[in-house]
Amino acid sequence: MKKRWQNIIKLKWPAIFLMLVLIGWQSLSGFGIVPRLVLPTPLQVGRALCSEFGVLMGHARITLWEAFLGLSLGLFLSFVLAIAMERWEAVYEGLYPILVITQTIPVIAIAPLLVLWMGYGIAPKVTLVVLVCFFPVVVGLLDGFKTADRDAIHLLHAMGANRWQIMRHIKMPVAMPSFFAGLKIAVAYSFVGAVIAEWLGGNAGLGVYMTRVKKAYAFDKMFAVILLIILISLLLMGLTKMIERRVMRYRNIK
Amino acid sequence: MKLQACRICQSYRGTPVIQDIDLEVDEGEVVSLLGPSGVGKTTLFNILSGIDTPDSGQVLVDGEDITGRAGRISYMLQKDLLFEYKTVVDNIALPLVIKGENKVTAREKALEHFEQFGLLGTDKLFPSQLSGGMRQRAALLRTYLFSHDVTLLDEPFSSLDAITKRQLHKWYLEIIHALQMATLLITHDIDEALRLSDRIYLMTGKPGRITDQVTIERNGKSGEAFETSPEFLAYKSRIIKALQC
Ligand SMILES: Nc1ncnc2c1ncn2[C@@H]1O[C@H](COP(=O)(O)OP(=O)(O)O)[C@@H](O)[C@H]1O
Ligand SMILES: [Mg+2]
Repeated sequence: MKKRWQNIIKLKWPAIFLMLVLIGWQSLSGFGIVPRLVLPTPLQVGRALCSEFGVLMGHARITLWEAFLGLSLGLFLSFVLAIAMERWEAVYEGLYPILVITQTIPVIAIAPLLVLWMGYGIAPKVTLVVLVCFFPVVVGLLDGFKTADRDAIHLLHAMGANRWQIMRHIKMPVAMPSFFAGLKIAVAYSFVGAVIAEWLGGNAGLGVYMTRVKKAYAFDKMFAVILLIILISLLLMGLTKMIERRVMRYRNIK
Repeated sequence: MKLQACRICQSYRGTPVIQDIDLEVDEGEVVSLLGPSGVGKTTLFNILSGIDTPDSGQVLVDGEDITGRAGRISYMLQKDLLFEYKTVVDNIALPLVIKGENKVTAREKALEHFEQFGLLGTDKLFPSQLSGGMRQRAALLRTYLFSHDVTLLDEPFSSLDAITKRQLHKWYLEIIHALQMATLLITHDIDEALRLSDRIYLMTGKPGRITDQVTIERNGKSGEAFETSPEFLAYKSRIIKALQC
């Protein structure tokens, strides 16, 4: 309870600061210092968000679905690869440098290629999401496995445990904190990644909506969709944090 | 003979650590292995438990050669090694789960012993919520569930304060006689060895060898009566002398 109050107090200053920025912004375009067409006022953005809410939600559903599919697939592949890399030294030695190098390729640069290969359907979007969320999760898991205590492994070995049991009862649980650190990044990337993939073509989704309002120079709608993307990203991060708390219940006890 | 070690030698990177270790533990017997730190006691336990394979020598349980084979002898390592992310009952049931029992029956079997080990009501807690003495009892119960046959305990009480240690010794003596477990325990505390064991092996030197053996006759005395007896002091001075050379 006390903690909750402390959190609210901690939020006081950022909230005041944000209010000041919003008031400043409102007066900037409200008094015509900057043309309203280019920089809509916060009130206009709010109004656009309300009037377009139904349409935006329809698009958001598509984008969320792509992000969800990509993240699930990415998580599955990450676990398979991380476990294989932990199990076989040769796989680790062979793949780790390659994994790191692939991270220097800007994902946005290969997105058009994906569209050329896979068309305008859901496939290139999901693939792009898989690519962006893969790395932080694999690295999170691998780093986590390394924190396993040698003596704990000895103990399980003495009990007659096999490799999979050692993975299940020691390596996987101790990897959870570092896995969730990676997952939080992956979740944020996956949603924005799906939006970016949609810029390049498609029939629906927040990215597609963005390109449409851009062509119409509808700045208020542009700001509204950006605001929505921020809100959904925050929501997803919060959800991840909740799952993290649930999974690592032992960390929250006094 | 329950547990037997024959002429065990082990070295690390060419340096012999232990040499020609022979020892035996009889059915229901509590035997201590007493020696200074670094003499190779843990090294020997890693071999007896099957985690490591010795350069030469054999480990026998009930006459069967189990050298280098883990899973037969239960072993409590020097740290209590309770897993912070598992509840107390899941920690204790772990050896049964490893042996292939399903989680529910493993938990039930573990819970049957909670009262005897003074752990009632702690099953759903996490290890970080237990006191030092309780953690040690939980680790001991886990070790017991692992195998009722032979138990190796590496300095099981050394992390505890003097008072908790005494309480735990008293409880441990009762339980070990009730359960009739053959036990080999490492300690560097002479009083502890005298209090708990039927027989003491002394290990000294570099490489470590078994240099002496003391059988404790209590003549019907137990607890404080034995600890304040002249026999106790005689044993103690004999051991101190043996460890000095
Ligand atoms: N993994 C290892 N690698 C190299 N040397 C070791 C290793 N484990 C133990 N030793 C050496 O073996 C000796 C005995 O160690 P140990 O068995 O832990 O002693 P004790 O348990 O009696 O205190 C030590 O001097 C240490 O230097
Ligand atoms: Mg030791």
